[in-house]
Amino acid sequence: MTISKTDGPRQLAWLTRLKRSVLLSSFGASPAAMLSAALITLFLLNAIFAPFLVPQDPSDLRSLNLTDSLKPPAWMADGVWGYPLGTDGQGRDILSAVMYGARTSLGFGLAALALASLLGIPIGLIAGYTGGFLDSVLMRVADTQLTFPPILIALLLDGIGRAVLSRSMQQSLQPLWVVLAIGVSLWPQFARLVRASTLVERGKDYILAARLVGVSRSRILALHILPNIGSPILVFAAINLSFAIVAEATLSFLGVGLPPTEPSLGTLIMTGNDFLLSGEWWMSLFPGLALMSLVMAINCLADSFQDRLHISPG
Amino acid sequence: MSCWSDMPREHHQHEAAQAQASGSSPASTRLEQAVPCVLELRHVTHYYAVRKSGLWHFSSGRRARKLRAVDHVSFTLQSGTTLSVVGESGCGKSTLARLAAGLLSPSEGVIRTGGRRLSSVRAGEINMVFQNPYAALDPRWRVRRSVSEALRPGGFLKSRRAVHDRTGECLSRVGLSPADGEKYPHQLSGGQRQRVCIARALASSPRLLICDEPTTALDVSVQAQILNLLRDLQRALGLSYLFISHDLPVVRYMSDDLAVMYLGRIVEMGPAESIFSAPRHPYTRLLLESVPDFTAMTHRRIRLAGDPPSPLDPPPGCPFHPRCPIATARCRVAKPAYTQHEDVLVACHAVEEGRGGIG
Ligand SMILES: Nc1ncnc2c1ncn2[C@@H]1O[C@H](COP(=O)(O)OP(=O)(O)O)[C@@H](O)[C@H]1O
Ligand code: SF4
Ligand SMILES: [Mg+2]
Repeated sequence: MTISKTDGPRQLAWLTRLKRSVLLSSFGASPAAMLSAALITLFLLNAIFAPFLVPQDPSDLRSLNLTDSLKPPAWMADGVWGYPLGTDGQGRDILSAVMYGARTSLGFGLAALALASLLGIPIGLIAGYTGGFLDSVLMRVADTQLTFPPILIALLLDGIGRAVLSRSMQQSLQPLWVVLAIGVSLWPQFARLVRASTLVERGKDYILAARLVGVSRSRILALHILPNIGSPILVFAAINLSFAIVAEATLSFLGVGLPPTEPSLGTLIMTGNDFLLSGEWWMSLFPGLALMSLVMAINCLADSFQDRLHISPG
Repeated sequence: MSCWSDMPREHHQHEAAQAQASGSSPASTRLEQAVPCVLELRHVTHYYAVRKSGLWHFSSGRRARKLRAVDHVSFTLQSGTTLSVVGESGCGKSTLARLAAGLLSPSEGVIRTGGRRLSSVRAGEINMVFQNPYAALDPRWRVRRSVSEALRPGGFLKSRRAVHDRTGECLSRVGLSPADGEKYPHQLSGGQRQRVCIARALASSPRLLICDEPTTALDVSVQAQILNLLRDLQRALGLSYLFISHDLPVVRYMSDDLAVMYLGRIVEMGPAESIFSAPRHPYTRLLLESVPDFTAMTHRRIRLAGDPPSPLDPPPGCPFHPRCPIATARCRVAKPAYTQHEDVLVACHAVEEGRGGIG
């Protein structure tokens, strides 16, 4: 270890740290990672600016023109450039629907992920740091849940929602319930990863040094351990974001996810599916392609981060 | 060296009387009744629970085995002095350090400081300097923040200004500039990092500093600087050190008293100069002979061969007997008790029987 020459102002140290950070250094790694990063940027921009970019507001029924229904993509014989990717049975522009749908999918994926982290990270931190009985109990619960496929948990929770809540309430709560179902189905993975990282970190000497001078447990967890296990958690979150998106799409495809009034890519694929056999393939193909590229881009980028960090998925 | 393990009361009083009569060693002249010692361990034992692992660990029900890392250790550390603990890697030195720091609680025995239980000690009153200064600093914190960490939770410095000043004072005490405080650990050299760790340890105004191999991870050229810094600080601040090392020349430079540890047990203890000039326990002798600087004193060189046995399966009798050149049948069955030889305590049958020479 040599003494750095950049003793200078704070900004410099900050910049060197940023340069060293995993996230930036993995760019420029592989072309696939670059492409993925570009795609994800595109999806993010779309998520923010879709309302200003779409050719047609798919939720505005007045803008729909029934005479334009079931138009194929523009390059086909019957296609028109006004509807580049064609229209659905009500004359809804598929491109606009896909743009809105991608936004919805990403949003719900992120929300579910946030819930899973909100549950899993504190539980993992406490279990890993405290150890003992509490750790055993929390991890047994997590392990038990892990023996069920997450999608089954989500379906189960959805079923409970339908059974417990009145129909109108259930319908208005459905978007929230989707987030809850996916979020809950994912927390054990987070808890396990965070616990494993915490176990490694808590034995390090700088934690002992903090304990010696009476720093409280919560401060140690929040100020020392969490920041130092942040990178693997971020990567893991990215991997699980794609899972959350797919889970939402699956639920929607099965008809227990987001309602057609708030279509995600999964909902679009489901509604388009009915037309697939009658030859109107574009209605489900394009949402499907969008979903696929989003998920693959996230996975690919997460993989390249993971390679840098040498962590194994929980 | 007033409190001691496995020793009957008579021995204890005998030692005290002897010490008063001779009045020589700084360690034995101050008695526990007169001045409460900075650190007092009585029959301290620590077990680690070790999970059985392997192919059949499901069938064996994951029964935990007990690893005795520290075995009935007793000593006292007098205010303003340095007690060193030496021994090979794995003999339990770090465990002992953590017990003394209150980071682990002993499975058996009592640890007191200034006459009080360790648990009632103000946070930071006992502080520690670790072996690897890189692992001992949060990589994401500026080192100034690490140094000042002790100053906030205790709350004895209220204003930000006071904390800032005190942090700067601690940094300059260890020879670092305020600008160094703005750096991250990876921007400092090993020696500078260890200085930061010492500054952090000083910030809480400790009475006792536990140094667990503080120079082992450093370049030889830097080691002497850190040792001198520690000695200067001791003189200036009246600190007491529990100094842990496996490096005998370092220990000789630092210590007032010395405890030689083998497989969790202290095998020889007394004033450092007494032990260095006339080592009695075969293990101590072999340790000293393995250091070229000290070989001249004993003329012969017998290598300390092999590794110590696993503390999971300690040998019966004297734990040193598998490697001891003068082991007898008695050594293989009976654990040697401590006996007093001048101001030094030794746990060895041969020394007790008066046939101390090796070979
Ligand atoms: N956390 C732990 N769990 C189980 N065994 C341990 C643990 N820490 C240390 N040990 C074992 O205890 C013994 C003493 O270790 P340690 O105190 O680190 O020795 P030293 O510092 O002298 O090298 C070693 O055999 C080591 O393997
Ligand atoms: S008791 Fe026996 S085996 Fe142990 S050190 Fe003394 S002579 Fe060697
Ligand atoms: Mg050690």
